[in-house]
Amino acid sequence: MEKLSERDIKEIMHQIAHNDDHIAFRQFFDLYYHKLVNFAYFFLESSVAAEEVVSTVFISLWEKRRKLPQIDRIEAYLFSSTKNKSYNYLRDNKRLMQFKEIDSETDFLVPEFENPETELLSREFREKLIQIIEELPPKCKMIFTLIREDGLKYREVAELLEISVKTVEVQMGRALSKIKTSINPYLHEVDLFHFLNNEKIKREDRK
Amino acid sequence: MLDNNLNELIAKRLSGEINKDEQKVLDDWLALSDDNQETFKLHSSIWSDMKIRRTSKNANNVFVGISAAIRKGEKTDDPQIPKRTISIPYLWRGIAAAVLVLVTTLFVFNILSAKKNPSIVQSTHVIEKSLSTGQKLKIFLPDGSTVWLNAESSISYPDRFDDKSRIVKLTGEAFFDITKNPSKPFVVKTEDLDIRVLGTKFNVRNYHNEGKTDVALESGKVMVETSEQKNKYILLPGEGISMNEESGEIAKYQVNPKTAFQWKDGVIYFNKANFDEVINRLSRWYGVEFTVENYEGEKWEYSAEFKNDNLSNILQSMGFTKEFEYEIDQNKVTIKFN
Repeated sequence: MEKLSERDIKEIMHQIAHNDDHIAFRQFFDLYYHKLVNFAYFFLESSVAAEEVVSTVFISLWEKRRKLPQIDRIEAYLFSSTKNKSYNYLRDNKRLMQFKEIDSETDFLVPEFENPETELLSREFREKLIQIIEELPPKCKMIFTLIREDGLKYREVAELLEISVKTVEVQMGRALSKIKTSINPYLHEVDLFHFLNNEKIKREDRK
Repeated sequence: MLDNNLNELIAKRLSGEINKDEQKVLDDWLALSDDNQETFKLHSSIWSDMKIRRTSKNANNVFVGISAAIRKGEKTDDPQIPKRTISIPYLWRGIAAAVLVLVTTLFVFNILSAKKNPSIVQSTHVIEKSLSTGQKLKIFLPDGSTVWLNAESSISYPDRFDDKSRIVKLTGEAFFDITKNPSKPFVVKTEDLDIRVLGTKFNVRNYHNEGKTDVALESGKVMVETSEQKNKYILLPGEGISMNEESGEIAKYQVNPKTAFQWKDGVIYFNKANFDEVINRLSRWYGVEFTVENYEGEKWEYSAEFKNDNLSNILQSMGFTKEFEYEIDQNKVTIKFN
């Protein structure tokens, strides 16, 4: 999907709040659904539960849509709402949650690279890197994802997960260290720097 | 320096959380060896060039479910309804899912035929957006079309289009990317011209102080009609039409894509522009007022292209060839010729 600027997102929220615009609501859903369902999965470890919880997030957002423009950092709001609703879900469905689902995570959320340029890297290398990130310890992966992919600030992640900013810092350092160590053996197979430099040059040419 | 701390610093740097002191420590470490720089480069590439996106294949179904729950909630005015689905035991989920599919099929069907159902038709409101100088806005219309509205322009449209047509009114300048719908022609009304389209990309410009209306077509096909005389013109891609406000004279021309379309991507393009044109464009674009000193009215032909540049840079490079000095004080700009 095309990247939207903060202004575009504000405009979408405005359309939802004041014009009850269903198309804008769909755009808004497409922007955040995948991130939120991924986040809810951290807590619930069930795709059905994650989908249900995130559905209620969007439903209550629609019900409160008039207040939407007053929300300052919409990402932080959505993630925190997803967390609260996940906790409620766990509380209300204790018995249910004892039965682990046998759904494979890979079918549920498919990780792929955002930039098509990375297609040029060997398939093996791409798969390896994704695997390394997917296999980070759960908490470490959650924090790394929230910061890198979802663009939250350290402070926001700390508040969201009720941990200290220092913990966020430590986990981020750990993520980088693990990625570096695990990718090292594969680096010689790819002339990664050559590839990246070429990409940079190409991108500058386009400007 | 401990390796752990260093990784933390790199992560902070990449996520924009680093402070000055930490940046200094990182810089010192980078200066130590090529190896350190390579390590940083690797992290920075992985960080920004290899972002991962996780896609849930089931998103569409979930959205349909949400729409159904919202509709149900609005009908009975009972916000509790969606919550109730949460604690349905697994056994019931299959049944619930089947019902949901049925409900959503009806829902989608209902939307498609909504116009015939009086209970769904709501009164329409006219939405108006007006921009002053220095502003630009991207607008999503109710039919999924996109409009880029330029500075000092205004557009009005209903919050939902009626059965037969999609009509918007424009003064100023806008670029339209219209969603195809042959059964509902899209019409842009300006003071002097109507532009009728089916699905296409084009630019309309009718600033009052310019005394003309311009329509330039990027792709697709449009029909331009004068509001009074009912003259009709068909435009093909790359063609433009210009109508003089006073004389009503109409002329077709070949479009220069740079002048007609690129403003929406942040490009200011001057093609042998005279002094007034340059000043007008810049004051509208940046929302500033100009005061000019010692200008003798010499003939000016200025050609240049700027992309997402700030005013100071533009004036600097312009002042270099045109030999003037400038001062910017908030939104007041003074230009002094030597």
